[in-house]
Amino acid sequence: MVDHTVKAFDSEIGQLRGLVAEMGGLAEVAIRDAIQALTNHDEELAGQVVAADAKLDALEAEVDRLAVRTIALRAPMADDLRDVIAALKISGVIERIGDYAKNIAKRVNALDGRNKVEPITLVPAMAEIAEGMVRDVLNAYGSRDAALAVEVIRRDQKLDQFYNTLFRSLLTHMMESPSTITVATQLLFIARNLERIGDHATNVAEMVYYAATGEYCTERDSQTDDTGAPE
Amino acid sequence: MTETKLTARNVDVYYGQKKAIDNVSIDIDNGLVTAFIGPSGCGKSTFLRSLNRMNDTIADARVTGEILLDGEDIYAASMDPVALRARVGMVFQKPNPFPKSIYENIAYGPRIHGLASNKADMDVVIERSLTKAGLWDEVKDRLHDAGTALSGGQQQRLCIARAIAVSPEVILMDEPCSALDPIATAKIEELIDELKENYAIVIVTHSMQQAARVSQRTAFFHLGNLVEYGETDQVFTNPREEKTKDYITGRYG
Amino acid sequence: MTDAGWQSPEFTRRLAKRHAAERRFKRLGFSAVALSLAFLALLLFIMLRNGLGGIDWQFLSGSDSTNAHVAGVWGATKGSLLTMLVTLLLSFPMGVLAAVYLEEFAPKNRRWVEWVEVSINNLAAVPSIIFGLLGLAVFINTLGFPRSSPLVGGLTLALMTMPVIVISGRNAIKAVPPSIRDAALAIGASKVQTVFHHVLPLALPGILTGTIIGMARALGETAPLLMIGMRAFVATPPGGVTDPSSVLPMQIFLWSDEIDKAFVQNTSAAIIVLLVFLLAMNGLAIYLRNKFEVRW
Repeated sequence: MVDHTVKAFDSEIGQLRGLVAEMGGLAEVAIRDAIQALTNHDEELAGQVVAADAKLDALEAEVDRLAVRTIALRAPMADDLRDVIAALKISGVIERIGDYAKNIAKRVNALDGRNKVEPITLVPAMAEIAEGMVRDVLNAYGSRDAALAVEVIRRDQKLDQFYNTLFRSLLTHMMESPSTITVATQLLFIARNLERIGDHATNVAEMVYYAATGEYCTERDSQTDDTGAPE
Repeated sequence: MTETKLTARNVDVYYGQKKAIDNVSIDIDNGLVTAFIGPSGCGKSTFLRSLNRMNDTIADARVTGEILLDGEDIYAASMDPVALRARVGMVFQKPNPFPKSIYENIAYGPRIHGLASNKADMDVVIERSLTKAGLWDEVKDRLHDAGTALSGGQQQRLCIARAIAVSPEVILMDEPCSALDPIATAKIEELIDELKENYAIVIVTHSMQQAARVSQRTAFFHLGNLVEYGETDQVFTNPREEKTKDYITGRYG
Repeated sequence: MTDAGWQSPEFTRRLAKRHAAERRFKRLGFSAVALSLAFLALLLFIMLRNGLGGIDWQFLSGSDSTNAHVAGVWGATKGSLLTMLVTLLLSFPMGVLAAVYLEEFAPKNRRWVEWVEVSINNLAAVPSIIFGLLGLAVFINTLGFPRSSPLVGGLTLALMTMPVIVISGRNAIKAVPPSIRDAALAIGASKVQTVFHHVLPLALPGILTGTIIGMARALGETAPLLMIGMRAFVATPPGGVTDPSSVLPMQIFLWSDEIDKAFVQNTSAAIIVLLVFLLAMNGLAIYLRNKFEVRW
């Protein structure tokens, strides 16, 4: 793509995209570390994840500021405008992803080494899908790849299915052995957080699609979510 | 449903051997503002001037193709350019009131076209034109002062009132605000917004922000070609053509 | 340039030279003006010294006579007035209309238009005596108009003045900005309406100035009128444009040729009258120009 005649404009857009990419990287790391802390019951690592969330919040504020400044001073049009609006919205979503990762890390303490519940083995696999979605959607953002964004949206179905399976399995577990309810409930929340991370990654994908093409993505409308469906 | 006021089909404009406008076809609709944008020398002013045959005044200018006003070819032998220019009015970049009184400035057009038979009728025409141009309250007590004693923004509104006084159907504006300060510009943009209810307005502008603010349709010209023509919000948020996008995002050149 | 550049001795020297050149030019220019004025002053002084004494009512109201003390300037003055009238009535409309046509209506890049322009420009430079020959051949010999009359004189001088009016008229019209024409045309005025309602009123001051300059020149012409015979001794002032007459510069010439020294005073007095006439015309030019100047 040709450069802007006014080079400062290019550098501002570049800064904005860089900040979003940085936030994305931090969010990825947060998810990975939170799950690792969970499987290894590493309370220290969990503590680090919680602390690192502050950086994500600070970066979001910076993106806000820079986006408003760019709109006021440069009056961006067409794809520049969509880029700036997308960066603004995506930073908010990534911040929430970071919050979910933090939430997972917080629950590590509540799950000590004892009382291992069988469905817990599904969690790392589910986390990998969620992490993969976040990584790929940020790659799609970086290279303005609308096709990759659509593909990420499709993966959310798999994550939802995972969640449904885990949900039913944990429910069964809790009904069979009520002593595991405390642990199982925590796992339920963790699974839900991962599912929500997937949803948010889908949000980001839709915005990436819009910034790249100027059209609204209809992929999500054709998917179904049957967690609310009767048994 | 908007009706089409001006239709151009395969229009070429030559200055001597040089082709300034290449095969442009466009529909200008009534009741809305159409903006022509593009870099310097792209031909937007040339094309604008073809719409009321002002290019006739340039010795070696030649227009081929069809330009229809309500279905009639304006370049046909049967079309009198003098009558045409009463129907298609024009406002220029630098305000150019006649060096006469405000009253006389507005009265001249209706007088030569026989639109007001006595002074009472003429007074009505003048008050109506100045009111529509948003200038009446400011000048009603000094109608016999020189038109050139007004400020730049007022002079331009005077020129708009002068154009309105002959009851045109289309108003062409060639960068009407480029010589004015931001406040005067805002007043004229507001005026254009009000006028569009009753006229088809075509505005040539260098400022993309102005085109975005003021128009409902935008046409992007480049090197004599019409590159893109569409609804203004679509052209500025998601243009179809790469050249259009490069121009409006400041990547041109 | 380094920081010390603006303070360097070389720069200061250069600057001083530039200022010195300016001062030199100012002095030179002033001297040129002073010198020309000095010559004019000298002329006025000589004329006033020689002729002022001879200006009395008898001189101003009497006609030419062989007796220097009786000879007056009225006959020649009236002849000049009549001749100027004929000249004006002919050259002004023709000149203005020609200027308007050439500037506004003639097609721009045709050969014949260029030839017309070149011809008119050259006509303005033709020596005036040639116009006299033309007048003699056409008006007197072919058309048979009365010799030595203000009619023929006026006709001849009109031919001479017209190119001047055309040229200054064209310049005045060219100076009217195209924005005025655009404004008039865009409102639906025809070409003729645009020219006569808008362009000409703005060009008028320039046209009037050019006309009066042309007329002042015609007033002072002697050579062409010599050829058409306005050099005869005329004892009574002309009754109308067809009566034989003289003109002021001619009278001056005739008297200066007289052997009788008494005519010297008359000559100088007549020169003063002519100069007053010219001053009045210039004054009229300035007055009319200011009156019609439209401020825009």
